[in-house]
Amino acid sequence: MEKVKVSLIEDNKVIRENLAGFIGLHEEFESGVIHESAENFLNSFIPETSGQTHILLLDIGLPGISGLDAIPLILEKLPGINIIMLTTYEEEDVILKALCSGACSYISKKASLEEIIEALRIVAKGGSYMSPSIAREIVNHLMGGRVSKATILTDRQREILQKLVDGKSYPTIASELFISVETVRTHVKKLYKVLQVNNKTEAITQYMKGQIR
Amino acid sequence: MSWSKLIWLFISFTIPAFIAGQNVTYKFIPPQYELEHLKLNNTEDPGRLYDITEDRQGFIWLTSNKGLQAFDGNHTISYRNDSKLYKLTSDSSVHSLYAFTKLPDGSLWIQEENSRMLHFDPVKRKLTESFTGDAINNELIYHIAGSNDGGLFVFTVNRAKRTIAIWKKSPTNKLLPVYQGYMNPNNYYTYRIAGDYHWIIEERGITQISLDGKEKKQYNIPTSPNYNIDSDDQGRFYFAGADQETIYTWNEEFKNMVVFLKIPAYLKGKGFDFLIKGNKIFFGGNLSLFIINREDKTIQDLSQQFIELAKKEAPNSLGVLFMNFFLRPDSSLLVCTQTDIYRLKKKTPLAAQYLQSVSPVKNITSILSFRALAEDGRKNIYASFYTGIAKQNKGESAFLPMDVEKYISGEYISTYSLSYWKGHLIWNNVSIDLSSGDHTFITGDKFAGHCTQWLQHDTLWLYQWNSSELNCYDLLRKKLVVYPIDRRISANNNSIGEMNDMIVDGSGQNLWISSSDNGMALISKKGKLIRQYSAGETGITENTVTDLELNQNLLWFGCRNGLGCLDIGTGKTIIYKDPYSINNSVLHDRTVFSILPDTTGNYYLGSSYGLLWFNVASKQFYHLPDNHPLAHVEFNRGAAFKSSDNRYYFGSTDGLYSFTSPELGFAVTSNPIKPVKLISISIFDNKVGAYQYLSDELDGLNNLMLEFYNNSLELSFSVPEFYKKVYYSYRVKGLSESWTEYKPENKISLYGLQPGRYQLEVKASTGLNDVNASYFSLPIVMKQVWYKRPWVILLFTSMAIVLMITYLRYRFNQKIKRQKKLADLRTKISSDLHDDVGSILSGLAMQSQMLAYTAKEDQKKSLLEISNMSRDAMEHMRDTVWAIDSRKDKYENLVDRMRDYAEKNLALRNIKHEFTITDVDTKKFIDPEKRQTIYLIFKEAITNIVKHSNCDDVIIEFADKKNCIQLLIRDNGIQKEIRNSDGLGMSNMKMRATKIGGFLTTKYENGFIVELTI
Repeated sequence: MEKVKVSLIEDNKVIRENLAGFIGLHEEFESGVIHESAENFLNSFIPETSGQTHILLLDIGLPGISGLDAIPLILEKLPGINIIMLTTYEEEDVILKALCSGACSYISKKASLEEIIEALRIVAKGGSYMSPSIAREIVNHLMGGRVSKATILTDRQREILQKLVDGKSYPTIASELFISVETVRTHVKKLYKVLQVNNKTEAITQYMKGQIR
Repeated sequence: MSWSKLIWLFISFTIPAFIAGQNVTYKFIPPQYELEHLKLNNTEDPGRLYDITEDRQGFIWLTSNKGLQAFDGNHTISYRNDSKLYKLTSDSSVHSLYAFTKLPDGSLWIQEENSRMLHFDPVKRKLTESFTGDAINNELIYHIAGSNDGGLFVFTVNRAKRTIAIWKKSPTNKLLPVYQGYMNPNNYYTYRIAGDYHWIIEERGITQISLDGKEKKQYNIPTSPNYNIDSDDQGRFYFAGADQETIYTWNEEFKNMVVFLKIPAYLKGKGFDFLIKGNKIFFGGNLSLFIINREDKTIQDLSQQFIELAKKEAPNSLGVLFMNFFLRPDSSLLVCTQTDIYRLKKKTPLAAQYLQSVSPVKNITSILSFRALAEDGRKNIYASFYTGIAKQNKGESAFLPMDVEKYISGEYISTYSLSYWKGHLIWNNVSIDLSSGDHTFITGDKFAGHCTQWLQHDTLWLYQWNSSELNCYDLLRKKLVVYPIDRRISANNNSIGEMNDMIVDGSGQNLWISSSDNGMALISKKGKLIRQYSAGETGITENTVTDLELNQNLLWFGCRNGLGCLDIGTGKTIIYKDPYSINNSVLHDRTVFSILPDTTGNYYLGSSYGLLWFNVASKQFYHLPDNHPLAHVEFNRGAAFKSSDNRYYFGSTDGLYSFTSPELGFAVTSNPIKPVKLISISIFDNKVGAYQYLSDELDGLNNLMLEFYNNSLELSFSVPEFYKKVYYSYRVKGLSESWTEYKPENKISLYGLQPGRYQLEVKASTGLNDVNASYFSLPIVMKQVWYKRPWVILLFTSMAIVLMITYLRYRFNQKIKRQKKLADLRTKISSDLHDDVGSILSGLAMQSQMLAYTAKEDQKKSLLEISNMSRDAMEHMRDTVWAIDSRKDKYENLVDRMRDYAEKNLALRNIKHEFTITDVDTKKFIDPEKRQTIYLIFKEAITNIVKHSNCDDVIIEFADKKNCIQLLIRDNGIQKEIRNSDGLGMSNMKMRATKIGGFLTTKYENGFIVELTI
């Protein structure tokens, strides 16, 4: 089984070294490139090495180009990469911006190393995490405050989104919808994909083209 | 023409001429008329007057070489081309105006010197149109005349073509030919319309032409070039013959000219104008004025009076420049010269005409004051005065004093009553045998003072003033019965002082009595009171009743207020007042002292101020002219008497007056004077500093609208009144409710008027009072300055309010922005701090956790503790940032945070939980302190469950219960001892709850329950 390559952009040396070290302790993961700034990552981008990264752990508060601004630049070079935002504390509008820019998930630095590894596993499996507050922001941002207006989402996605807004946990949602938790996480990740489109028309177009399934 | 008609013409013309040719003798009589000068009171020189007329409103109009004059009897104003206020035409030069032609609609055509005709509306005071002779090919306009159907005809002379012509003016101002004839250049021509004919008068004869010009007849009656032509309102046409001795007239019946008057030889050449009024011919010239009466063949010569008056008004003139006569619609006659107007009126009679001649009385040099009168069987008249009686023998004019000294004895010398009975004269209380001269005292043995008598057949009722006794004297048997008069009649049960009159009532059984202090009463013939009428009941002043006159069921009485009338049946009284003023000062009540019925059933009234005549049917008072000798006399009580030959006698303090009815010309009290007319308005325009004038069509002015800069104006008024002076008073409602004093000034000046609405009210009267006053009202509106107008003020106010609101909103928004900036700054600082410190703590946590992986067992725990402590520190920091973040101020943010905490922490111990929200409006804002406190309480409770509880299920309920917010946390654990740390945590929670106005309770009930209520 191919190892999931995880790269890291973090300006704090202690976090950077420890995180990279801890990731390296797990056989399923492989450390990728590690930089302290987005510029360094982009400037030293080598497709053979940097291009093989599956998951990028990206700090928001970076010197120079911020993590938020770096997302589209990175996606341009690595369109298929999964970007997980590293947040000091979970600012919904910042996270939403990151998700709309192309990040697929987020995790707090306050989380334990195990929790961080767990998040890497979920994303590697194609899922993502969404808190109720993030879910509400998505509904307000994309759907004018009402889930029912989200005509570009599938019924299932609307269902999951509504339950997330209501504050239900993933296991609860999975239980109520008779699906697995991983399926819930997968749907969440797809919801994030929808966010990455700038307007509804483009979203519909993307949807019709099958780019959003 | 047939022979018979010719013969008839000859006879009808010559015989009257023959008769007229006889030397009819006219006798001169003293003038019965006199001239009164009507002062024009013009502020500008009216110029030389040419013609006169009167409009429908009663104003007199005069043409002159200076323009058109309007005379109202008190003032004259000039309408002239060079006048700014009363501008006549748009020309600037002044032209002479000559003859008027008045049309049936009241409008005036005026001949102007340059052959222009002006059409003037005297009511609107406006020139409506004009045309000149040029319109008809240079024909010279000689005369104009109007027909009864309103047509205007123009008579022209064309010397070049030697033609005369009559034209009719069409509505489009075209002149349509009616007649054309030959013109003799040596002749003079005059033109008239009378009846339904045109009359062209020239020296050689008269041409009569039908109105349509189709029929023409010539009369070879040479006329006098110096005489005027007259036509009266009946359409009769008069002209003087060339002999200056005969006045002819057109007889419509005979369809011929006939002689109207042969002018007395004496008057030949003495005049050139005449006016016919019935049988009177008014005949005048520059130095002469005569009145010829065709009926009684008399002539009155007013020439001297005329010359004297005229010279008085124009002392430097060489003579009186006579203009013409003018007969006004009220039948008064005006004599007009080229400078003045005189009214011809009947001469004021002299007092001597009415004052009875009384021969001197011994020892009396003052004027006698006369009281009661009587007439004997031989129609001799007896008149009593204070110390005697005078007698007028039948057929004689003078009164001669009688010898009555022997009757007068005692201390009283006075008179009040006089009666005649069968050869006896009863004077006060003494009966005098006229044949023998013997006398008898009816009461007492001496001559009494004032006595009131009533003679009924052979019985005399007599009351001696202040006696309280009613004496009943049988004149035949000479027997006296005395009855006491009911004391209730007079106030305070005193005797009746002055009993002014006593008459029998309608039944003949009782007596009506009147007195100066007790009003009037009905008493029995034995002196008992039957009914009294007090002042309060009758409305009379001072309870004074003078004379009494019974007319069926009405008792007429004199009183201080005027003439009263008591309806005996109903008991109702009406007082008819006729106040007077002297020299137009304040009004006084007129006391009626005596009532004397005339032969028509109406009354002559002797009053405190003149003799009146009262029409019983119309209830109107009639007066003598103001200068009549009987107009102001004070008459006495009980001094009115009508003799058997219908001569009326009235005694007064100034003598005894008598008259017959035809000698007096009463007139009803002055009718209300004519309406007040607004004739000009001068408005000062402050913007341009000049006056704006309005003087036409002001009758139709409904209101006067002024701009705010027209705040000074002058208004002039006029009332046509030619007999009395007119006084004006006004008020401006909106400035004052009070009227100004009456003054002769007819101009009102208003200065500095402020914007607003006013009502100008003007009243005019011939006295200094409102009796018969005429009223005028005009609303005046002065517009407000534009910036003070209501809508502008409203607009400005609205704009100010909007600006204020906008400014306040801007300030508020700026404040909010600042606050938000501050909050954002605070949040940014805290989050930046959190970020920086959080990164450090995060690094510390990761580092210590990594070290724990490779550390020895005894060091692992410490390292993991460091890691956990770092993460706890980060959590605390996060709570702090969250608490001050103003973006997290809604209930939904609190709920998210609580959910998140519950999920993460309960999951660590595999504790299931259910979080429900009931009726909480998550979008609603929550106070930051409350938000933080509720979260901390919640966090403490969850932490306690995680640390100390043995439960496996937690129910969390967050509800809005209308009047409170409730947070319930219930677990299914078994109760354990509450440790100190637990107790400390609980007391903190309770303290936090109390701080935000809530309370916290804890209990154990199938699990531990923490309940927060706010």
